[in-house]
Amino acid sequence: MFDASYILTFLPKLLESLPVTLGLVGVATAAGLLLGLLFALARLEKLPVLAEASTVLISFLRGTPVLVQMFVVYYGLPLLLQGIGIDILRWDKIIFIYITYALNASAYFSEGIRAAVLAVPARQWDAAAACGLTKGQSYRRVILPQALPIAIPSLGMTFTGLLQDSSLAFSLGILDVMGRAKTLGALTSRALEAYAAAAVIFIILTLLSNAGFHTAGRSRKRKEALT
Amino acid sequence: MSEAVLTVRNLHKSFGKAEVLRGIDLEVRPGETVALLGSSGCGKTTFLRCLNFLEKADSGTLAIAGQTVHLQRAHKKDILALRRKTAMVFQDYGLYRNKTVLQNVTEGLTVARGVPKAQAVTRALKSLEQVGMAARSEAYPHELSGGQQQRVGIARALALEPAVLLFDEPTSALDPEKVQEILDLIRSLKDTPTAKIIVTHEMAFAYECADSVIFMDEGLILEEGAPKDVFGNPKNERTRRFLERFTADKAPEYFI
Repeated sequence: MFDASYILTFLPKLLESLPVTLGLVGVATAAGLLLGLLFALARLEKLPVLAEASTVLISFLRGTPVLVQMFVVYYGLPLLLQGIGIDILRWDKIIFIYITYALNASAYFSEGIRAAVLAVPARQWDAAAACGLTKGQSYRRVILPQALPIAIPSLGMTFTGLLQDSSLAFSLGILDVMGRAKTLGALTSRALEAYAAAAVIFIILTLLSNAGFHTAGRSRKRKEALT
Repeated sequence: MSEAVLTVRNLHKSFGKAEVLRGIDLEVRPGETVALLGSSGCGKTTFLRCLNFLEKADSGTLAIAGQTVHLQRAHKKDILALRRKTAMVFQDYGLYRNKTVLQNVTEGLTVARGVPKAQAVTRALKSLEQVGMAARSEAYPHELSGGQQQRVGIARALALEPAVLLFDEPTSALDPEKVQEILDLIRSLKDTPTAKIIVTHEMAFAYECADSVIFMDEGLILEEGAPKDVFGNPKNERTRRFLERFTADKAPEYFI
């Protein structure tokens, strides 16, 4: 029978693994945002080769399951790098997980950023250029600050998706919240309760992240009411 | 006659197959006010935007304040340098929406011209004073009316102390009362050393305020001269037709 009291006993144990999940999501978000920005800029500025490469990479990353990407990175990347004489076989598993999730998130972040930049009226570019700002200065001081509030809801959705997707890392044996739930469930024969406890943690994380992005979106908009 | 601050020779510009500017020549002297007239689609706004490279012209030469560029092979560096001798006022104001009124004006000074912050603020406040907007220097653009935003737009351009000031239909988005206010403001700049090129549909303003009026049609300059000549005695049939309604309205005032 389902015994809800187990959820309470499992929760503290699962919370011990929370840093793994948060670390994974944190690294993927930070690196993903940076990469995503670069991919977006490559496409927005139509940089030769880089723009096309970004387009292909993004469509691969958005068009295949993260689980597939994880195996490609974990098994494929070492082989690929071995070919040019770099040995990464001994790297910690978690590094491959970081790479996978950073790449995966970067594709979604990139599209969110690109759409937001395109949503800034062309006149803002005109105005910046007419005042003598360079392209880089226009991006930094005028365009990106206006694109950010537009991008926040989409970035928030990607972040929430990342949070849920991170639970797949246990397929490579990472003991994040989900991996811990699986082992606890197997150990105690209380799998349902263990997964329920994991669900509670993910729901709370998601609600917190939604609330965070919502507030961020609102406080930004107040200042820069978009006409 | 002083030397021209802006010289355009044989400027051509096409969008795809459509040639919208078919060889424009223009000279503007310091302090001069030039009104650029013509029906919608005649290329006057495109021409204005070619002068600060918001559009890239296909061929011709452009000289501003002593620097000459062949438009066919204008380098990034040249473009930036020429741009920094100009400033522009837009039809829809184009204020930076993420910046306060004061920041809108100081931005080009500190970032593009390298003016120290304190000095930029002083200059900006002086310009804002000039357009009557100093009291709103901490407001954001969306908190201002259209007329107020255009005042800030003009202050932003003035603060840059450009050799050439470009106005792209500065009053077309405003109500008639505000149109007058903004035109009066532009009129008050008449004696500054900055050359002013104004694309406008305000005929009365062009007649009263411009030193020289240019009429464009289908990518060419059809008529050019002192307002009383262009309005009073247009040589070209197309010009006459365009100005007909206006001159008919105003005939008693101006032409008798």
